[in-house]
Amino acid sequence: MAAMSQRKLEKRIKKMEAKECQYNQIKTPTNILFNILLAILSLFCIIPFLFVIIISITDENSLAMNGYRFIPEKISFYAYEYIISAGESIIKSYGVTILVTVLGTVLGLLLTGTYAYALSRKNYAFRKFFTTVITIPMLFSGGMIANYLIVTKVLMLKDTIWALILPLCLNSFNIIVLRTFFKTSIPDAVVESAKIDGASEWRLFFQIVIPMALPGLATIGLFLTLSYWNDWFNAMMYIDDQNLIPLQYLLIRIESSIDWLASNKAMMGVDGVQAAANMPKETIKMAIVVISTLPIIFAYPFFQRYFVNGLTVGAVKE
Amino acid sequence: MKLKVWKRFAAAAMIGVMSAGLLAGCGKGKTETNESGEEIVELVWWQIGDAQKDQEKVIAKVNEYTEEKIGVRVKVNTAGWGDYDQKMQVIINTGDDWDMCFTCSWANNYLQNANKGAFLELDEYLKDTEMYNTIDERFWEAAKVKGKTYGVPSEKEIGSMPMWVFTKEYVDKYNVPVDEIHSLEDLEPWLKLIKENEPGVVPLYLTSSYSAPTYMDLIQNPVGIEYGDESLTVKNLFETEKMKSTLDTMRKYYLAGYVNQDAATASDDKSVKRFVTKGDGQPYAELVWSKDLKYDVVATPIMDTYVTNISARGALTAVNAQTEHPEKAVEFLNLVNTDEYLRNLLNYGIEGEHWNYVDVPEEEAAAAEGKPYVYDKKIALTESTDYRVSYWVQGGLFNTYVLENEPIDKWATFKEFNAESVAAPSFGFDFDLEPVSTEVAGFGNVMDEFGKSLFTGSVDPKEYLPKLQEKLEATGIEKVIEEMQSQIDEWKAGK
Amino acid sequence: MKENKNKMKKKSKEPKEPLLRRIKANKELLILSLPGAVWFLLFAYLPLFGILVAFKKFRLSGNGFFYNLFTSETVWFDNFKFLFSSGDAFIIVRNTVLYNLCFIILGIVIPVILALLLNEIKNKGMMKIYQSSMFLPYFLSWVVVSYCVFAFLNPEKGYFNAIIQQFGGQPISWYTETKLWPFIIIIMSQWKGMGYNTVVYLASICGIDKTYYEAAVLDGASKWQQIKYITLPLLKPVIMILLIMSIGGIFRADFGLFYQLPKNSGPLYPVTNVLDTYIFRALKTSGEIGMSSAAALFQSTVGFVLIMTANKIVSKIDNENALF
Repeated sequence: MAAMSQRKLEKRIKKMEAKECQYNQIKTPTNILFNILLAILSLFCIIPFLFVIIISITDENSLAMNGYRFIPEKISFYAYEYIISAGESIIKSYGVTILVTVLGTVLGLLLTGTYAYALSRKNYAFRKFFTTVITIPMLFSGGMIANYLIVTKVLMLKDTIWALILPLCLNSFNIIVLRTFFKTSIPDAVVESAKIDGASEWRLFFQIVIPMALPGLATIGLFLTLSYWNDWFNAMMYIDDQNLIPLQYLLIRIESSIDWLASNKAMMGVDGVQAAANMPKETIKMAIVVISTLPIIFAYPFFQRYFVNGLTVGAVKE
Repeated sequence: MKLKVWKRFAAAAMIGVMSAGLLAGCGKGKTETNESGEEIVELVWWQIGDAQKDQEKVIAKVNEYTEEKIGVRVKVNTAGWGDYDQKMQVIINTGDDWDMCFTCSWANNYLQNANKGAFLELDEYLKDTEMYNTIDERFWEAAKVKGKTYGVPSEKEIGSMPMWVFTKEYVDKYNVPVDEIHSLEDLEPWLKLIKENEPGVVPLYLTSSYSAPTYMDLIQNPVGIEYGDESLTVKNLFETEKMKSTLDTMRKYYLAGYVNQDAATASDDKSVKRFVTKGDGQPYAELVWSKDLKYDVVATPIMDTYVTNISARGALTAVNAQTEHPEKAVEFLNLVNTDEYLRNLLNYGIEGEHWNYVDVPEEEAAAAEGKPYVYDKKIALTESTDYRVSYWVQGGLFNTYVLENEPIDKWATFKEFNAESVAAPSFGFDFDLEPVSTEVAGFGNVMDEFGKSLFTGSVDPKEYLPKLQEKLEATGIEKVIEEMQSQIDEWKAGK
Repeated sequence: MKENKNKMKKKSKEPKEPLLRRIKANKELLILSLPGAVWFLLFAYLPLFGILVAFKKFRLSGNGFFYNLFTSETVWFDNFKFLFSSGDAFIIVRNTVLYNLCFIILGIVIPVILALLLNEIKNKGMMKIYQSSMFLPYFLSWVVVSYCVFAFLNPEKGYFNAIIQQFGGQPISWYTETKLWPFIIIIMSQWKGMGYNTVVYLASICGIDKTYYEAAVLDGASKWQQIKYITLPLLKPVIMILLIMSIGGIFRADFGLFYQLPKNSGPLYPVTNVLDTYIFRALKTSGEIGMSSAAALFQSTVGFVLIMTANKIVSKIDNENALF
């Protein structure tokens, strides 16, 4: 029995692999048109980032003289030199961000995956109950103060990296999206035949569902990675230890300080001018934007692999 | 095969868990005592401003000194300028462990927190302290909320001094009699001259944070009491004659092209060449501005300097109402505000690392002879920028040494400036906004919407002033004025 | 307690199977959902007591948050009043809802089209480049984006006005021109989010069983027909779920988009003031935590009602695609 269903699946997959290159492609002119369209859109997305890079290598004085310009009057790598020379804290922050992102994504995928899988199973008796459990928090939250109390006083996570990891590892949106992926990309027949074979839910989840739902998992993995990489709020709330500050908060803190000092100028008068003078310069800020964004851009293709592979991985092959 | 991948993931996760556990590390130490047998207590002190790289080093040095002297050790936590309000709101309201914090009229609001019960009443602890006598009594007066003191003021300039800031280059070129220019109207001929003769220069450069010269104490913006109005009549800023004419003048300037066209949204762009701009100053503000702009400026006050609750509450340190060590906290704050060594250590960092002593030129020293707060040494900052804090965040200005490029009698001048500042008639009055908190919440939006464009003359006051009034009325300004008037009458009667 | 109540309700509805037996029968799946449920209990349900603050005039009279919470005066709905006290309440709600409707519709249409395009192009190497670059805006904070936009729109030195003047036109005062901003805001929001939103659809398309296309090709279906009759119908579950979830956020707005991007310019308020910016400006001065809780609770409640309604409607039409 088991051997048969296995063989059946294998056959199906082989057939699909063979057909994949065969199913018809668009005509060349259409292809060119699509490419042009996408290229233009991509350009629009790249330009501002390019702009940020240019500002980061503009000479501070010529920036002050001319404002933001696409073609800098004078190029200077001072900002990067500064970051490298004062690098200790930035390297530390890099470490924190990477550790948090990797751990958080793995943990988050595991928790989201198991929960979403259970919800996707039609014969799960508590499906509705557990869906309700995640729907309410999607809208209602206790607010900053209540969260702070729970995280610091009940869970005792203050000034630990867990305060950066745990609050973000699950969310209702990801679960529901992944549940939908499971529902649509895993045929009931596959699950049922495996069940008949006597496979436990664990086995089903780890050995059949995960390989079959790779695009979905990759999507959620990407979302998790991005949310961890971009997170600064939890750091602001729960981290006072300067050694545990993630990169993004380092940047946001500078941004919000500059912004705040500028808008409270009238209130602070000369004191504000003095405080602002101690802030990192514009070029340094932009350089931090660049160095905090570049690595994550390379994380994207890593997840992207799984989009193309999808079903062809060999769903149930050991 | 897939299972193996997951196993590897799990292993990676485990390693991560363990390394995270290591990072988390360390708990609180046992009770210690100093040489004189006193038990050492640790006080958590929250400050505004960005964390400094060498903060731990400096604070370690501070602790070395204070542990011996008064048996106190501090743990300094900082929250960035932009985050401080939010962070302190959480820390204070959740009853987190903190002992002292920075508070003032423009961040971590002193009045609100004092009213809310967050801060400790300090009166009984203060009586016999040295700082209670050395700090200008008007600061202590300003620190009183409903007759009780809730914070130790950092002694600095007591009033805010709105000024016109001229670019020296043009002042010299056209012989502008800067000292004779005060009001907005005084500027007109010179703006015209610049407009005609200096094409690349903005005659009056304004940014979105500009507010037109206001001759009143805005107790609850835009409601307040006019300077010099001893009858204490509460007014709406936009209904005062002075403001109305100011707005008309601004509009005239704007239409004449004296003002930069993007004034209502611009943020200060140092690359813009300007003839004059407005700044909020203090003694020697020109030095700061010149350094910031990288060219020389000269400034002239727009009006007399008035002391208001807002201006005199420029910086204070409050103690947690729930602290376990109130006496120690006050003792520590007293030391900060009276001990020269500690004050300079906190403010400038470690000698030899962040700064060095320099001698005062004899001539200068002789000239300053007899003035208060004149020290026999100055400070030269080193190249290191790893410890830079704002003076008033931690304590008063006057027991710090001045920098080498500053006059040795800098603080004496500040003292004089404070003495000359006039108390506004409403000085000492606190508005309890609780009965009208709903109405007041509406003001923020209305002021943001119209304030900037009206102040800079970007829109026609004939059209927009009525619109503004209408919206203020819709949010209930009448009720606020009424409430404030009744409170101020009561205050006056009890004075 | 809540869980118990829910279970009880469920039990009374389906009396045929006792709870214990159902637990036993679903043991494995229950274990799988348990870690997630514990997380929700700790990080989402425990803090819900914070909602009480919305009905309190929170004062600090003693030690500890709970002591203060219970000793503070209960003012019921006073904290909510400020939301409606302004004469602009209508404009603000209108702005919030209309912008969000646009975002919801465009946030589906544009990413779906992009996903289809990306999926169809032949050169997969290029596809990766396009996709990666479309992700870039997502990483720039609104503050940084506002700098870049300002470089173009700055009325005195901006590139756009320079171009306009080059062609003899009148320079535009970009930050006071209310007519332009709805477009700028919508374009920028889509620009920032499109890379992110496309991923879900792209992944869904990859997850579609290829045998469907195979059969269609054999029947001689054109590319367009394949999209119309296979891809889009199979994307429907994802689209519907995302639609329902985004409806819950209709009373919330991205603060940075409406505050930083227009540089908080007063004359633009009629088209840029939304609930989140209004609340921010209103509470900037008073700092009353009861009021901010009240505002959040109001937004949540409206969102909750809307999500429930949307879900009901969807489940009436097509039960498969509903949230629950």
